[in-house]
Amino acid sequence: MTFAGQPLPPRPRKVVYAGMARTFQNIRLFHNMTALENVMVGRYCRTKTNAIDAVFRLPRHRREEREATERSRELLAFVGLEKKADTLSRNLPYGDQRRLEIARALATDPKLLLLDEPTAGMNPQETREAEDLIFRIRDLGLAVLVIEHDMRFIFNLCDRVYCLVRGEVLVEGAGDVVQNDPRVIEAYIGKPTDLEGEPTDA
Amino acid sequence: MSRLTTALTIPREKLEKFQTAAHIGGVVAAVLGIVSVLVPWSYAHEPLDDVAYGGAPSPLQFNYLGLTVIALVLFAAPLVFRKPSKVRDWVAWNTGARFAGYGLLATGFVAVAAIGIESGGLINVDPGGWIALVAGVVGAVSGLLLLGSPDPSMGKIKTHSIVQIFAIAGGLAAVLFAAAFALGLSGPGAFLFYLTFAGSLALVLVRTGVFGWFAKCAADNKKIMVLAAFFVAFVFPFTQNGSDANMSIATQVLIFAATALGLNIVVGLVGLLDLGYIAFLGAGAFTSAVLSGSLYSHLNWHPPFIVTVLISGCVASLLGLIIGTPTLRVSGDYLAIVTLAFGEIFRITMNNLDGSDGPNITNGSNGINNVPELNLFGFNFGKPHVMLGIEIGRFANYFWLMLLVLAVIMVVFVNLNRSRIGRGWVAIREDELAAEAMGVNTFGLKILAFAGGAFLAGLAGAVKAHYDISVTPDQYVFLESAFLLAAVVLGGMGTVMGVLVGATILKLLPEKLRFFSDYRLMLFGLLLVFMMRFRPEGIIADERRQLEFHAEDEELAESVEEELITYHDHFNPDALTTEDLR
Repeated sequence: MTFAGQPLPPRPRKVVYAGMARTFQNIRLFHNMTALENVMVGRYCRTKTNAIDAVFRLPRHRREEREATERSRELLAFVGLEKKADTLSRNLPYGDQRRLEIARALATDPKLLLLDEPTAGMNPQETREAEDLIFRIRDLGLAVLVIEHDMRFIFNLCDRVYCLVRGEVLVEGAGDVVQNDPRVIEAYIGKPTDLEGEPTDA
Repeated sequence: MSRLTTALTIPREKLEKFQTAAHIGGVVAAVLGIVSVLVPWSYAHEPLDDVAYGGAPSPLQFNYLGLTVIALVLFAAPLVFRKPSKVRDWVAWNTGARFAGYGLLATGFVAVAAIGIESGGLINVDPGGWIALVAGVVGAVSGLLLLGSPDPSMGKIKTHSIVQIFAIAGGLAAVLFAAAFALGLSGPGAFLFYLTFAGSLALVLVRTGVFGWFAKCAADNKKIMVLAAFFVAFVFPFTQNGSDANMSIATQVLIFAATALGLNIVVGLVGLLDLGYIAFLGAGAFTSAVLSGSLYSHLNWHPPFIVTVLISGCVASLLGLIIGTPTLRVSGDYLAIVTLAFGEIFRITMNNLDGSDGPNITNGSNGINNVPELNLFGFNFGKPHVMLGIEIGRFANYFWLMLLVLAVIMVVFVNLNRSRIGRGWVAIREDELAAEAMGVNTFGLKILAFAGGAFLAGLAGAVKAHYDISVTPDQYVFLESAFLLAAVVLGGMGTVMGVLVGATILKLLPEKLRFFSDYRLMLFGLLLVFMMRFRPEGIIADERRQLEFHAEDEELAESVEEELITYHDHFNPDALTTEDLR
């Protein structure tokens, strides 16, 4: 697998260094750390302080610590959590936890952000907010890849849609092209002939 | 502990009828306690360091008197000041009074039991002892009937910084005095009685909210607090009048605490269970002994001690690397088993390096004896010195050296914890997969924790070799590893203070209570079971871990959050205010 012309290294950690960050389908924050600390963990791969710097509080430690705190606060403000920086992440409401996860992923300075079902479990209001947030991330100049099966969310959001069936790409294209493709309709709803005489409540 | 108080569920309405009666009962109990001090407690003179005189309370009884007076004030104050006011609500009178009542019962019970056991039967308990016990029962029942008071607000009072500094100085002086007094007690009964008293007093201070105010003073003057605490530890030998017995215990406590702090990195921060940690202390001790120039050492190179210390740390961390590199890929129970085996392998290897089964390095089970006393910059650690007119003995010299080593270890621990590396460690503990996905080098950081913790233990071991004079493999058995782990768990994982407290409890109790040391495994086991049931986060909790174990406790969650916010405000006064978060 290649990314930006380079073959991707086989380890998750190296993939992050290469500029690809992800969030998780089921939220995996560091629950007993504050929101700010969570985002600062994301800065880990872009800082170089080693044990010696930290023990003796050498200039590099102080500079990077200051920069990481600043950048993390910026990102928290970007996702709208600046007032919850010192709340433990486990005490945040669900929607805020999702946004914090995105902020944490953004802290790794990615070129491509992978979001795994970012609106799972959200109500329509929160989904709209998530949509707005993803548009703002796109405006930062990042590529965003979203896996989702909320159709309204996908078709409002995405420039390009890939429809996957059984692990293979079925259709690729702009939103309305995919939406109207008979194969996609077949995969999602079924063939019209199959449904004869049966109620279609799916 | 909060669960203990809520375990008894008497409906509130029923209790309300008894409030005045409970207050009066408590006052009666306190007065009984005060009277008891004036009456002989015991017929014989031996128990409780002599409480056989009427009208002339012993020092121990004066301490007990202090507790009764506090109980009197706490029980009587709500009778006198009936109207709630801001100043009245600074202190949680009722909750404090309840714990004072429990304290009276505990001390009274321990007193009667100790007199009974130490003088051969309850027949030797004089009226004073029985009055104290009755006072305890009345006090505890009255306390039970009291309704809890609202949360004390004393921790939120704004105090001038000079007053705060005086409070810190006073508090630490009291701790120093109490420690010196406790170690000066001769009988185990007296020591246990004093321990019960001190524990009760501490609980009352915590529950009334007075402790909250101290905590705020300490948090507002962190640097002064740390320096003052070290100063108190530094002057401790001067309170001992050249007594070696207590200084020897104190030094052992420090060595134990230093090692436990290293283990705390591995267990408390990264969440790896290490059951063979004592091997690293042993590695440091053996390295230091071999390089010390002892007659029993077969290596004819003895560098200065500062070099030896570093080499000992490096050898220990090298062992950490050797054991860590292959095994840190497994996790959880498997890692515990591997490290357990490693600890035993270390001991057996040291036994076998005796010339017949391998190269002769350690003299096998005889170990390396006659490790010479340290001599740094012309200061001979083995000889007593007279300072300020007080003789400072051999053990006090090593106590100071260990204090220095402990300070270094604490600085390393705290600085690492508050850096990118510490955040990475905690992230691994919280969710290793997510940490890896955020670019945290999980394997590297785990190895660093293992090697770093081992290095710190190696430093402590280097001093231990000189302090113990002889280093033998049988000092480094599995039981010691278990005790180290118990100290970390008991005190509070991931905290510095907690580990110090845990180490002190686990080392001091068996030394001072000889009868206890036969049953120490059973009693420590019971203690751990009780801790896991009532306070799984340890005596001094890491604010974060506290939430982990009491997730359902919303009130606690809020209070901890508030603490974090005030802590934060303190460092960034202009960033955020509490109101913003509401």
